Order: sequence, then C-alpha cells, then structure tokens
Amino acid sequence: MRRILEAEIIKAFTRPRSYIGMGSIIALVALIDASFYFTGKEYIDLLFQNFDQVFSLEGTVVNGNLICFIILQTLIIQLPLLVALVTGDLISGEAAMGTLRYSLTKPISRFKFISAKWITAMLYSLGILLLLGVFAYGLSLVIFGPGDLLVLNADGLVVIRDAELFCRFMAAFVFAFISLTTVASLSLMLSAFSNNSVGPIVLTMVVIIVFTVISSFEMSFFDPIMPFLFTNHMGLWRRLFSDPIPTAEIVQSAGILVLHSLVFFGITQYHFKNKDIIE
Amino acid sequence: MQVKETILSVTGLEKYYGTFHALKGLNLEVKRGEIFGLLGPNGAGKTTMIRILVGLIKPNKGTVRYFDKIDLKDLNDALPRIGSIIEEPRFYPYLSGKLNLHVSARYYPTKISNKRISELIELVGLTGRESDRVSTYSQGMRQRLGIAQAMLNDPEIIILDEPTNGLDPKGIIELRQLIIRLKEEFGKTVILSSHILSEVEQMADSMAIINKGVCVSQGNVSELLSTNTVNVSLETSDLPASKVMIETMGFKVRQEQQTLEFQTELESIPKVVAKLTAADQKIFRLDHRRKLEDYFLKLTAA
Amino acid sequence: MKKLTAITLLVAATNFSWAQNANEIIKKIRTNFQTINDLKCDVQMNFDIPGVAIEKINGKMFYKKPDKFRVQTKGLIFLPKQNPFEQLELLDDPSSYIAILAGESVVNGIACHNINIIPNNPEELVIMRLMVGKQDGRIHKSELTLKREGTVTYFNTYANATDILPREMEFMADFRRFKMPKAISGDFSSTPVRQDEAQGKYETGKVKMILSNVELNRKVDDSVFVETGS
Repeated sequence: MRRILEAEIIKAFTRPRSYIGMGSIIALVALIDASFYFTGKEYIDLLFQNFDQVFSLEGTVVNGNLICFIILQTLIIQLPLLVALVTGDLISGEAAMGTLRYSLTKPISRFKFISAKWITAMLYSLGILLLLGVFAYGLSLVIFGPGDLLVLNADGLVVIRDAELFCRFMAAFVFAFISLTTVASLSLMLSAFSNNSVGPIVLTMVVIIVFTVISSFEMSFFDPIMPFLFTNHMGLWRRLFSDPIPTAEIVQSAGILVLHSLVFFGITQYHFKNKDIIE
Repeated sequence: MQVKETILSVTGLEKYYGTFHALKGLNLEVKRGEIFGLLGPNGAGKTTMIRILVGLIKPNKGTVRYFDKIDLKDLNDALPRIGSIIEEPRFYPYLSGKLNLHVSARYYPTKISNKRISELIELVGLTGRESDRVSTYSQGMRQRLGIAQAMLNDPEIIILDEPTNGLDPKGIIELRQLIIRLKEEFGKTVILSSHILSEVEQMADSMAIINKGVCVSQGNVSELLSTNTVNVSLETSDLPASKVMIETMGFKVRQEQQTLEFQTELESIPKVVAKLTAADQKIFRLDHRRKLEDYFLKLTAA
Repeated sequence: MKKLTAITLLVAATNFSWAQNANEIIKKIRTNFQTINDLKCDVQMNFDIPGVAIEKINGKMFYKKPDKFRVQTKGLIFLPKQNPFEQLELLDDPSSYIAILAGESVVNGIACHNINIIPNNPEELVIMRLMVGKQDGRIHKSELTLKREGTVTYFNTYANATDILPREMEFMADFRRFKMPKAISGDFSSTPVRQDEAQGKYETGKVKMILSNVELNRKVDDSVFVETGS
C-alpha cells in the first residue's frame, strides 16, 4: 500500500494543475494582507459604524489573527473548489488520459488503488491547508503582529484573547481538513463515475456553490433542508471562534462530515470494484 | 518433441455490454515461449478479450486460467508475471519517461531496481531521452516506452494490444524486431492482437482468428497459412475461352466481372498458365491468395 | 394676574434657591476633582454587552487634566464613547451650565440629591442628572442624555468613605444589538437571524471598570495617550 501511495503522490504532486490551487492561495493571501495593510482601518470602521455610537473599541483590531480569520473566512468557499480541481480529476483524469487502464493492469487491488487515491486527495487537502496555515497565519502574524481577535458573527461580536487563539486556529485548521476531506471524497466519488476530467470538478463546484448559496439565504423556506446540506456543517469551523465554544455542536458536525466522507468513499469503492474499464 | 506448457487457457468466455454480445464463448490456448497472434477485424472482440485477460473488465461467463492454476478471481497472483500494453500506451505526459517507469514500478509487490529501469530504457532504445517529458516523445518512442513498462516486472507473458497502431513503417519494423527479441532472447510469451494478417504472420508462432466474438480458427501460423490450396484470380484476353480451358483441367471456375476465380494447389498454377499461353490466351493478371488470407480478407471487408 | 405673578416669582425664587443648593453640592464635587491632575491605576474591565462575547481583562487606566484619558490593555476592550471623567470636567466650569436640584433618590442604599445639569450651550450633552450622596457629596450615579447616543448611565461605587475616586465605575447604555447579514459577516454557521427579530430592539450594555492601586498626581507622560492601535 505504501508503494502505491508513493506512486499516487508522485502523480498528484508533480502535476502542474496541483499548483494552481496553491498559487492562488499564495496570491490571495498576499492580496488580502496588502489590502489590510493599507486600508484595514477603513474596513473595520465601516463594519462598526452603527455599533460605534455608544461604545468605542480600543486596541489593535487589525492584527495577524484577524487577517488570518478573514482569510480563512474568505477562502472557505474557494478552498473546496481548489481541492476539487485536483481531487475531482484523480480517477476520471486518468481515465481520460488512458493511464487508468495501465495502473489497473498492475498487480494491485482496486480497493487499495482507490484507497491510495483517497489518501492522496486528503494529503493534497492537507498540503493546501498547511500552505494556507503558513501564509495566512504565519505571514499575517509576521506582518501585522498578534492581538485579540474580533469575530463578526451574524448575531454579534466575539472578542477572543490572543493567548487562546493559537489553539483555536489549530482546531479550525483540523476542522477545515475534515471539511476538505468531505469535498475531496465527494469529488473522488464523482470522478469514479466519470470518464472525463472536467465533469466531476464542475459537478463538485456546483454542489458546493448551490449548497452554500442556500445556506446563506436567511429564509425559513430552506430551514427543513439545512441539516442535510453538508456545506452547512463545513461552516462550523467558525464556531470555534465563539464564546463559549459549542463543542458538542462542532463535534457533531465534524462527525457528520466524517460520515459523509466515509459514505462517499464507500460508494466510490463499491462502484469502482465493479466498474469495467473500457475507455 | 517436447510438449510446451499451456501458459494461458480461455474457455467459453462471454461478455455483454448491455444487449451487445461482444464475446460469444471464446476459447483459446497459448503455449509458453511462443508469440501468439490474436487476429481479427476491428470490433471482433480482441480488445474486450485482452481487457478481460488483464482484469480491466469482468466476463459474464467463462474461465481464464494462467499458468494452469490461477483463475481470474486470483488474477492479482498472476499479474506480477504478466506485462501488458492495452491499445496505445498512455503515460503521464508531464513526467519524464524514466519517472513514468518509476511510477509504474511502484505498483508491483517487489521492488524494481533503478538498474532494471535503466536496462529496460536501453533495451527499448530510449537512452538519452529518458529524462525528457513523455509529451515530447514520438508515437514510436511511446510504444517502446510502453514495452519497457510492460517488461518492468520481468514478466513471463507480455500482452500487446494492436502494438503497431499509429506507428510509421520504421517504427513498425523496430517494434517487430523488439517483439521477436523478447521471445528469442528473453524467452517471453507474447500475446499480440492485430487486425493485420501480415503483421501476425511475420511475428507469431500461433494464432487465432476472432470474428464477432468467436474464435473461427486457431493453430500454428505456418500450418494455417502455408497450406497449398490457394484461390487464384485470373484476367485473360478471352475470359469465356479461358474458363472452358481451365475447367477441362478439372477445376471449378467462377467468372466474376473481369476475372476468373478458381481454387487449386499452388504447384498447379504453372500448368494452368502453360495451357492458356499455349492456346494464345494473353494473361494480363494472375493473383493467388492462400485460403485463410482470403477468408480473413472477406472478414475484414465485411 | 397678580396671582400668576406671585406663583411665577415663587417658582423662580424656589428654583433660585434649589440652584443655589445644587451649586453648593456641585462645588464640593468640583473641589474634590480639582485635587486630581494626574491619575494612574490598575483597572479590571468587565463587559456585559448583549451580542458581544468578551472576557474581562486587566490593564492600566490613565487620566490627565484637562481631558486626556486612556485605558491601556494587552487586548481589545469596549469603552464608553465619553471618558468617565468628562462629567466632572464639565462641572469644572460653572458658567457653562445651570445646576438644579431635582428631588431625591436612593442609589445602592445611599440617599442622594438629584441634580440636573443643563448646559448653556448644548452641543452633544443635552442634560446630565447627577445623584450625589447627601452625606458624602460624591456622585453615585449620573445619567447623561446625549444627542446621538441617547441616555447613558454611570454607577460609581466607593470603597471608603473618604475616597474621592470610585473603586468601581459601571457604564450602562442602551443600544441596538449588533447584527450583520450572513453574506457580509461570512458567518453561515450560526442560527439564522431573521430581519423581524433584528429590527428595532434596544438592549442595555454594561462596562464595569474596577480600579485598584490608584496613584494620584504622579506625573503621567503625554506619550501614554498616543493611540497606537487601529
């Protein structure tokens, strides 16, 4: 299994496409950092204009932690798309390229093959997150320095003291990893059903975008379907920046996401085990 | 005479794609150390059968047995001893030829050394280009890299599906020589499919002709093709007169539009020619094809 | 008409006498405040603001006359828009307002005079009501009605009978809860906030400052008041 995994890692990480996502993360982080460096104060003032009448907020609001949080929040929709760009292509791309039939004529079980692909998809997600961690968290802290985090929620504000933030960010990255694994599993599953490279990527993006748009509608009409949108659970990383942290809710959402990943993985395995490779 | 071991036997193989019956109870037997040609027109079921042999698709019925003991359900036990190229070889175009081989090597249970990979690169004549991206390779180079890839595990059986497809004449000759070397120098059993009779004839020891999912003929190539009976096609200055003359020699002659067609032994042709020229018949064209070749031409024409 | 004139004179006279009493009460407060030029102390900031989750934090409080005020902490804090000494600063110039006694009240069990301070030239402050202890002459509660912010209230709690400065200052104000559409906040994780729930509801927010280790009139450098954050 280790050697199959090595092969999959070589294939995935030597592919130019894999670096599109990484490059865009670096570019986006740099852009956000630059924009806050020059106009961060205006942004905060704008957000607080109605709150500012009675209380004034004192201290360094625009700090590395806030920038990291905003980057995470901004990229939370884009990251899955970047992951899908690679993971949605892991099987179907090989089918389209014709290399799938070569891999499968080797003495490896299809279960191991798909498992290796799945682990590779997770490793890629992890790579994206590590990159984001280094740039969004590390670089922002270097540029803007540490400080308390002011979180703007739909129903209020939370100020989290600097000392607690490292752990919370780490937990958020772990949660984001679980979320991205779900997306990677979904796109891998769609990839197993397709023989063209673009379809699964587009379909994954459509699922994420549609689910996210529905989640953002604050209308009771959508309430009944909200629990079934896995993208809703993906947003729960943000609750790690609540006070108090709704641990049970977060663990439940993480569990639901893991369950989704396993179901997607199971469907992929079942389908692929019986699939005739005819392309 | 030593009886060769059966290295692959296929019995009653059937495959449906929906309602399309691609293989209809195919039977084959391949002996160790031979080049076995699988001949058939496009759509005959060759690729389907080859894909079944390497586990890419599952048959609906029938058995495949490797090395006289390994069935399809345990195919992973046989695959370390098999190398294959299914249709045209495909690689990761963004990787070098060498790295492609390293990636493939990782799919085998036993470690394949760098030395082995270098040897194979040399064997297939890619030395000096192994570090270039595959996207820069010609079709012939890819085909040779495909052979190297199929040879990674030093297999006992090499399965090549239409190996000369897309190659230029030079590439075809080089590949043909390489395949023959695989058998003669390395003792490999090669199963190759083709829709070109001459290609099989030039390389294979045994062959099977497949058409519409069934094996219509199987045996030793020289026996199948070197039969004395030939179909003769003749164009003369006076077809009706020539027809009568040939019929008097005891042959059953059929007159087509501009030709006379009849079946005879190879050595009778000079006698027929002598009789016609003696009767002042001008012979514009005389063509003879072996019976199997003719049969195959009819298949492919159909 | 005579009756009306008599009543008017009586009211005016009464007001004058109340104003006189109020000014005397204010004078004691002013005298106390005049002894303070520089102030430095430790402060613990406690927050109880609806819709805002923020833990208490310790820091330093600095004040320097005439109007420099700063709370320095390592983290973010919410402060009243006005500095808590602004009411005392206002009292320092008796010509700028009219002080009128407006009854009595009990604040935290302490009997107080209610004094209305009406600025002569109202800009931001419309009226200030002070609840001054009858016995100690210290402000126990003040209500400021401001043009933009509405009414804000300070409660002062003193540790000792002789203290000029309160040990605790609690600021209260009504404000509209901070709400932001999900699309702007990016918060898709919280329970949906419907527009009808979000609109027009005022709630009371509190900020309590607990002072300790007070150092009076030890020179506080101006650089302390230079803002560095954003």
